[in-house]
Amino acid sequence: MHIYHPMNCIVPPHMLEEIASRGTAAQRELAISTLKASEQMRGQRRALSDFAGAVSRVAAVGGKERIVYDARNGSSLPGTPVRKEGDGPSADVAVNEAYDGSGATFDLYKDIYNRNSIDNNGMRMDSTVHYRKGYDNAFWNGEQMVYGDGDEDLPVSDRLFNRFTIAIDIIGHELTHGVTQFEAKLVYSYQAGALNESMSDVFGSLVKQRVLNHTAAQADWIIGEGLFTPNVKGVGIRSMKEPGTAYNDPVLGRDPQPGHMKDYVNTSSDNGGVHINSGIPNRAFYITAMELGGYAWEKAGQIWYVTLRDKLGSTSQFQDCADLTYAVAAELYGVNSLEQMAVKKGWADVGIAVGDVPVPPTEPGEGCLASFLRLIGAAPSK
Amino acid sequence: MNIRKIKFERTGGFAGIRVATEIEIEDLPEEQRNEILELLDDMDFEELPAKLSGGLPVSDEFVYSIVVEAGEEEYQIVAGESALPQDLQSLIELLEKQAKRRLRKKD
Repeated sequence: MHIYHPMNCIVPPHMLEEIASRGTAAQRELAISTLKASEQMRGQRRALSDFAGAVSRVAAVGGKERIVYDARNGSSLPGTPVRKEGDGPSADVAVNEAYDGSGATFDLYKDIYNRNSIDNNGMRMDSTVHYRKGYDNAFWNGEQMVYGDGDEDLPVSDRLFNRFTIAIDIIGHELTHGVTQFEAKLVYSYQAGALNESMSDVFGSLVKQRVLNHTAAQADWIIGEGLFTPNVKGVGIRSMKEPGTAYNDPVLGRDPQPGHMKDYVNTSSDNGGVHINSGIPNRAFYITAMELGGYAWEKAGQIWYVTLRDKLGSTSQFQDCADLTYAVAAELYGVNSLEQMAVKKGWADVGIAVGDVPVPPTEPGEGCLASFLRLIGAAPSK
Repeated sequence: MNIRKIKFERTGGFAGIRVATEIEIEDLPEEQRNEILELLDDMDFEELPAKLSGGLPVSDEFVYSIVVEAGEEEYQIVAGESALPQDLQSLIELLEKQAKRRLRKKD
């Protein structure tokens, strides 16, 4: 059986704990796995140490806590620990990039948004480098970041990808998937999934901009700069400023991202185009940040962060995100403030009008809980 | 199964770059052909569900689609990396290698 929706629902932790301690073996297992997956909702961490097999990942002193592991080209996770918090630099550049990049991401969230790590409760940031051989990817598996080395197994003249730790915004991107998992829980498909992806690009880019001390106007707004080898005609993987222009290469093809709703790509591939249509909300953020000027992480970033933390729900669509960022801008800076007008322009320029429609409720309600109870057999079927 | 053709597609991943290839079974060197046919046979490919799902959604993982054309029938499976059983993983490694090789030969 495929158990999916509890991850994206808010089932009260006390109820899961009850099931975990009193349910049948199968119910226990499900409740514990759900707790582990979604325990720290909206900053409310629940202690899991009472349950067998649960591992506490809270940092001992509540500060920045990192471990970088080396998979040594295998696929077992997390691998062998090679650099822990406070250790000096390694001789391995990928290890240092993973360490420094997760540190810079932690700092952006802590210093600017007052968020204590991925779960807002000091969760340790685990990264694994050298995952598999010839692995052209990086991902967040629900618990940690994982990075491949690109095309290291091919002759230099055939390589298209460098190691995936090479661009700091990729690290910020992966860690932000963790933040989204603990907050809005955007499901990873179609528009909600493209918003999930866009949030990762937004905060990934902000990590880079802050490290470089770039204003919105100075930033390149490129995601994954340096990831391509010189064999590829392209500046990076995505452009938030001009989606669809990051690469155009005889081998890899052309960057498929749209920057406007009129070019929205309907596809079932890539979980419904989550890495494609994210270009639309990415560009809305870029335009908002440019309208406001200065450092993008300050006002535009604040509006997007509060929206991700407090407003978006698991099935939110582009229109919801537009309406909610517009509402948050009013809450933070005032109705009809310059900030709110900048948000309105950002979305208008990608073909999404805000301010004309009522904001829909975003919190999952009874339906979610009832469906969970049905799933575990604790409530009658429909 | 009288397999004629295999269509392989990889989408998603952090970069979201599609990698795809179509393989005519007859065109493969004998050793590779046998290896692929044996894997398909061992895992009862035609009996697998059309969509394999793992426990939790994994952000930025690759998404694979394999279509096997056998006789008049077409069998497709779609699966994320984290949902791949071992035998399917081995098949995908073989197909992915083919796809990457062909990709780089294109001019």
